Order: sequence, then structure tokens, then C-alpha cells
Amino acid sequence: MSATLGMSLHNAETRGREALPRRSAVAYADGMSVPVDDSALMLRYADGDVAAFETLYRRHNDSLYRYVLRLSNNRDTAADLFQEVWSKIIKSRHRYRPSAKFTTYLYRVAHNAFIDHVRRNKRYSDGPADDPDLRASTADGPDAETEKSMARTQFLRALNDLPIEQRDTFLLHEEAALTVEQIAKVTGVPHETAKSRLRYAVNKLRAAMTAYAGPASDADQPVQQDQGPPA
Amino acid sequence: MNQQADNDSKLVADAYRASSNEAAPETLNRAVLQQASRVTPTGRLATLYSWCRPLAFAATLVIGVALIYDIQNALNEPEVLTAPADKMLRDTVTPPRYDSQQTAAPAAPAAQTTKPTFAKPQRAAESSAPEPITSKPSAAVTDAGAGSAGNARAKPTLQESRQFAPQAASRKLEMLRSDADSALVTDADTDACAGTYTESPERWWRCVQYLRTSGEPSAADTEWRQLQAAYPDFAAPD
Repeated sequence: MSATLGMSLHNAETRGREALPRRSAVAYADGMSVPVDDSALMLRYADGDVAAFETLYRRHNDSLYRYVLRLSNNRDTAADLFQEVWSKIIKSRHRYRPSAKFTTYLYRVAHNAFIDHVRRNKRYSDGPADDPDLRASTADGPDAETEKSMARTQFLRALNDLPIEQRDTFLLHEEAALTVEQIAKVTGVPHETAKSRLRYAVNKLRAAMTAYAGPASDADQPVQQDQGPPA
Repeated sequence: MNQQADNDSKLVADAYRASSNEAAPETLNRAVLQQASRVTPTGRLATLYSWCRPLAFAATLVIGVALIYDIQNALNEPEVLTAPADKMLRDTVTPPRYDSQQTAAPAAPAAQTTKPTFAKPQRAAESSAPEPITSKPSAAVTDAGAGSAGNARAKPTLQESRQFAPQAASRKLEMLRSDADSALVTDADTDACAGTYTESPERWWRCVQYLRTSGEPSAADTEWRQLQAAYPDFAAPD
């Protein structure tokens, strides 16, 4: 089962990288071979170039959506936060100064929007997940799921069980590709705090993956032992 | 130890990427992009919008400079300059009151002894300092007053004067209605005794008036007698 989980994750990852735009889908300037910097696109948009904003938006929309979705575990909330973040970016386009990486700026806005949302609702610390993926796993039995979706569901459940600060740090690291230093800036914590949060998150997720794979591997173990040659 | 942590991190990252592959819904994409294009002016409006800030700055600058210049001019301008304007305003208002008395009561010559005050606009414009209003009446007013008061130098009788009194009042009213008219009369009086003024009885009469108002009554009388001799049919206008 462990080998199956690992294989399914690997295959899914390979397909996912091909399917997901993520950071590989970058726009290129006309007649140029280097992608236009995010900050330059934002400045062009501030000057009235809507096409520049669309390019910028296509670069970051999916990763930002996943970030707010995984943080909130609720698609409606994620949609609201997503629109709120981009609305703030649009409205503050004239005040934008490329003093830092645009991704840092974007995710700082998203982080603050989520924190405000949590303060308004105060239900995200232990709130129930409203992610359809997670609901499907609880409603349907394991037999109805493919191994890939099972692994996916288990991983997302483990992610959802993380404390919100660790989840935030992990998501910033994975979705926004921020370094620990940048995560510290976005979340407003010291560098060491961000680093330890990321380490704890990774360890817990790794442990959850091992725990999920553990009983299955135990169940598979006798079969493998039976088939192996005696010492 | 670090390599183990890196391996764990890579494994977890791969698992996450395999598990989370949602994309933003197309409805959200459309909404955000529409908002982005809606708030951004396009075409000519964009060009106008780009000029808004410098234009507003320039307009503010121009208005500010003009305001400061105006304030400085107002501060440097002597205060006495406003006085003649007030006097001129009063002068232009005062004579019609006199004329109305004349018109309303032509048969009361005693009430007309009060001489109207009438400042010439030209003099007011020439003098920068405020001056007391001149007490010299205009020629027409003086003549009318003299005729109605029975001045011995005036040739028309009292009855003739009474007959001409309403006409004189209306003429004076016309003269006083505008400052320009008054200024023209003044210029004509000044040049009345120059050149071939004796060829026309009206010009000669204006010369007589000018001499009287300029403080030469004997010369005026002489001229008046010569005028009567030369033009016996000439009736002195009131």
C-alpha cells in the first residue's frame, strides 16, 4: 500500500506538473525571449495597460486560489477572499512600489485578508472543513475511491489538521515559492519562527503520510514475506 | 540529518502538488479581469486620464500665481484712488435730483438758488488725490439758473426764462446722463474760443459759456454782445 501510495503520488505529481500552470506558465513580452517581471507588469497596469494585468493575473491566479482555499477550507470563503485580494491589488495599483518581489506583496495582501476574515468570523481555528474533496472521502468508502484520490484526500486532511500558522507557512512556501525570509516578512514573524513553523509542518505531513502508509504496509508485509525466499 | 530533512521536504512538496491541483474558477477569473479593465480608462479617456494630474497641477499653479499677483496689486494700490470713484458716483446721482426739482416746480425760482454740484469726470480722472467737489456749475445749469433768477446780465426776460426752463431741464438731464457726454461738453468748452468760433453762433455761445465758467465775466459779456450783434436772431439756449 505504501508503494502504491508513493507511486500514485508520483504519477499524480508528474501529471499535475504538466497540467498546472503554476510558475512555468509565464508570459513573454512581444518579441522578447525573457519574461516580463511581475513588478514591471504591475507598473504597466498602473499606467493603464490592462493586458499587463491579465498576464500578471494568469501567472498567479491559480496558486493564490489554492492558497486561500487550503487556508480557509471553504470554497465560498476562498472565492470571497480571492476576489477581495485582487480587488485590493487593483485599487492600490497607483500606490504600488516595486520595493519587494511582487509575489511577496501579493501574498502579504492575501495573508492579511485571511487574518481579517478569521478575526471577523472566529471560526477557522477549529472550524469544520468544507472542502468537497474532504467531504467525499468521509462520505464514500475506500472502495469507491481510487488510490490516487485516497492519497490525495489523506494528505489534504493532514494538511487541514495542521495549526493554522504552520499551514499558512507551508502554503506560502509551496504555492508562492517564498523563501523562509520572505515568509517571515509576509507573516510578520521572526525568521527563526517562520523556519521552525515550516519545519514542523513538513514533519507533521511527513508523519501523516507515513502513518497512512503504515497500516497498509503492515498488511502487505506478510504477503511480501511469504513470497520472499527464506533466509 | 539535513539531507533527510531535504528529502522529507521534497517528498511532502511532491505529495502536496499531487494532491492540490485546483484552479481558480472561470467565473472568478472573469470577474477579476472585468474589474481590472473597468477601473482602467481606455482609448482617449486613458490619454486624458494621463494628463489629468499635470493639468490639475498646472491649473493650481496658474490660479495660485494669479491670486498672489492680484493680492499684491491690491495691497500696493493707494487707498485714495477709490475716493474719486465714490464721488463720481455721487455726482452722477445728485444732478437728476436737482433736475427733477426743476421739472416738477418750474414756477418756483427761489428754490433753484441752490446750485447743483457737478464734478467733471475728466478732472476726476486726472487727479489722483481726492479733491473736494467743484462748486462751479456747468454752463447750461448756470445759464438756466441765471435766467430763472433774473440775472441782470441775461438778456432773456423772466417770462422767456420760464418758458425755456423745462427745455433747459431736459437738456441738462441729457447732459448729465452719461459721463461721456459731460466730458464732451468740457472739451468743447475748452476749445470754444479757438479758431473760427465766430462763424457759428452755437460755437460762439459755447465760447461765452466757457469764458463765464472760467472766471472772465467781462470778456464773456463782450463776446455775448458781439454775438447778439452778429446774430440778432440767435436765441441763447438754456
